[in-house]
Amino acid sequence: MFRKLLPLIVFFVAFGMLRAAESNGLFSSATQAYQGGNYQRAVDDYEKIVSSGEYTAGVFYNLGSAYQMLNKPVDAALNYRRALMLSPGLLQARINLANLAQTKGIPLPPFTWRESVSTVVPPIALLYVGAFAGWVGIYLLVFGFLKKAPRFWWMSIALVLFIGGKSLALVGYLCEPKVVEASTAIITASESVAAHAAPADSSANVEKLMPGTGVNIISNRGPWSYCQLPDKARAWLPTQNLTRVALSDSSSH
Amino acid sequence: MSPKKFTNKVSAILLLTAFFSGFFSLCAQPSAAPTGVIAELSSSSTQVRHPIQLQVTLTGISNGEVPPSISVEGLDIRLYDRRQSVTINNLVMTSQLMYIYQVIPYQEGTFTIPALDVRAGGKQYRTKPLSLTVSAIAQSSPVSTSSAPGSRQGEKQELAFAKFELEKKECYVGETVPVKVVVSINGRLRPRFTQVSLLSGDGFTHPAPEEPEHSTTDVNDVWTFNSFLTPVKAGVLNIKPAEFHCIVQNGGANSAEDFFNQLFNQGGGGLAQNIVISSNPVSLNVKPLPQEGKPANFNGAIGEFSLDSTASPKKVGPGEPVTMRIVLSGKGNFDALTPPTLTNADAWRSYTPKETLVPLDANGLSKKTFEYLLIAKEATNITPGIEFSYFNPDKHRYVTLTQPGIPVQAASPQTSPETSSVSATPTASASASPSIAAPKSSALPIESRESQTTQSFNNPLQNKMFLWMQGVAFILLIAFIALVTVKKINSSEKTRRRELQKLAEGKLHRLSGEITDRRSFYHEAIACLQNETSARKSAKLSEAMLDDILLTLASDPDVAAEIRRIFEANDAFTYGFAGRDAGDITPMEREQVIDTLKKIINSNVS
Repeated sequence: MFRKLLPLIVFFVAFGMLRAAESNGLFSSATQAYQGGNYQRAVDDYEKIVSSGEYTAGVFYNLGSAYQMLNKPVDAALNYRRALMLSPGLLQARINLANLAQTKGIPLPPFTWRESVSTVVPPIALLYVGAFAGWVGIYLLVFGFLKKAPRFWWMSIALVLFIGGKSLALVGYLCEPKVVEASTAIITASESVAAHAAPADSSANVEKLMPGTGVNIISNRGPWSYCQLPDKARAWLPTQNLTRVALSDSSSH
Repeated sequence: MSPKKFTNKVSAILLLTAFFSGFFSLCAQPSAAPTGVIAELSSSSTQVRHPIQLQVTLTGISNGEVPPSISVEGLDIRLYDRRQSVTINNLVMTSQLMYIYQVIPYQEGTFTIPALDVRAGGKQYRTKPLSLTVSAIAQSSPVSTSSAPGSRQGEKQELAFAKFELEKKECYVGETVPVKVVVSINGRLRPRFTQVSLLSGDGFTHPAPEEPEHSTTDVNDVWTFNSFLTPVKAGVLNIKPAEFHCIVQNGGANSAEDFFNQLFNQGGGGLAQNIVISSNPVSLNVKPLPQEGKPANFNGAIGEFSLDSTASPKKVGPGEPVTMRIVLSGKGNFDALTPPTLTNADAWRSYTPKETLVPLDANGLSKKTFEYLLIAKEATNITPGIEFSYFNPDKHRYVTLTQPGIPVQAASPQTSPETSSVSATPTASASASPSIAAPKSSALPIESRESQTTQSFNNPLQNKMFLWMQGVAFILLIAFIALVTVKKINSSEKTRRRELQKLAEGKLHRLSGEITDRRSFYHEAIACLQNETSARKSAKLSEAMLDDILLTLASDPDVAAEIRRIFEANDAFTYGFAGRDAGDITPMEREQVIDTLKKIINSNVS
């Protein structure tokens, strides 16, 4: 059986190593281009890595920096936000994004408690550790209940582990940018985009949104997206002017 | 209805119709009324700029021709309305045609409105001359205005005037000087502005004109335009007169009666005319700013300002921004205000601040907010201080406002493990990690080492590994619960059996020696069998019947026969006469029963 599967395993391992090597090569090439001041080439190479799906927070951060050097603040902001979504503690991306907001007027979402937490500790770590502690708490509780006379300290520790662990996991989940910003999109049009009251060009304009403004997509209807705007109002925006921050696996490949 | 009756009814209706038609046609002869033309004034006296009406009534005439205006020195008399009315009085119908002129006096004195020639129905009529006395009114001296092209030369335009007011006659270069232009137009003219040129000239800047404040007096509509100008060079600044192009109506509907007349009668609404109202020209002496005592950080702010600042949040973690809001309020050239200087800012990284200008409020004060985003480069407990210099034109000297830093707690930025290769500055990067890229001097720092682990944007709850772990933990929990429960059940069953066995051994012990009475002996033996049956069936201790006992305990036919015998003996001693005097049990009988019982109990235990 193993002999039959061996060629297949060898093929997949080799293919994976080849792809990793190719991705590494592109990354080095892009980084060298950036360091040499060839920002356009750096953007092209980083974009290729993103298209291959072999991306990391660092790739998006570097891509954002390259776009910023090319004076493309909206693209830069989009990639910084992607980098922060993958790695919320990426301090330099946050600084560059704040800089873009100040100098180029790219609107930023307000700094919430979620971001405060995520800059201190990775939310995913909170989620995993919390989930584990919660399970341990459940086991101890069950064990305590099944015993004839559970000890008070035992049950107390079990309860603290259970409630604390689950709360920690919940906080981690709520602070996780991949959850919070799952439906966030950025206006990537070159000019301000009018938000409409209905999915039609002739409908009334609710407000004008600057390029780089983040909105939450609620639903899609044809070429229109129903969105929640930064001021919590809801309106229709042309889908072609929106780019989702989170890349789906299918869209990246 | 018979044909004859029908014919009579129709004849009667026709006769009545003919009668009334003839009657009304006779009544409707206008020629029955006298004809003539009368001119009369609504009032024989008025005041300057107080309009009155001149009404020319043509009685018994259906149409006529009157002049559109009447030329009288000092009076503006223009036709603006035509009305027609029909009255029936004592079966005599009278039609009247009225031509209404508006008379606006702009001089005091006694005037004679000449007789008017009216052509009507092929005839020439002539009215009588009328006399009008105009008295002066107390009013602020108007500024002369120029008339629009096409208007009559030499006609005075005090009906509308504009006045240009400067708050001061002397100022400094860059100082904001408030400007007020007042336009007053007679309300009867119903003006509509088509073009406004408020401030024009060289050597100064000014904002776009805003909506004027509108008010009304007894006679005039007044618009007040508030703005300001900022001189950009020293010297005498000549400001051109403000010009207001507007369309005015000669007459119009101001009352409900006029409105309905205008709605239902011919004509009305007045005659539209374009006019241009010009203000007086003004000049301003502009002085250069003194060089003496000029602070190094002076950036052209002129006026009188106050400084305030806040910072939030008061405590931030590594890399978290502190927002410092600096508010400059007061009077001055807010448009030209540049951000104040931050002092002692070595511990902070600051970015170009966001500026928000709140224009003049009710007290004439403006406010400009500079919102700085500060990120601590090192641990610090105070924000940068603020310094702002301006020139006070009223006190003719420079003033520097300073404010110390605001206490905050900012942690030193720590590089997180996953961002270890990203540096805050290119200089810091060299010592932070060997993998830091060294980009061109002006380039942003980047990450030069790629992480080997590909990341995903998927929701962590959709992570297969995480879901597997949760599933495994759940299954383990269920298994654990099941295991412990089974164990517990087993444990309780064993305890129960042990107790029952103890009970059975006690009964056997009693049967072995304590009980000698045959009746009690068999009774106790039956109880022992019932006890064992309950234990075997895992049921509560009960009065099990023979069949249950046999079914549960008697796998061996000999044992079954012995059990039956015990039951028969018990029944005989319990219900039969023999029971009253059964006597003591024999040792052999005792031994036989105890052997059977022991056999049954031991078989269960084994």
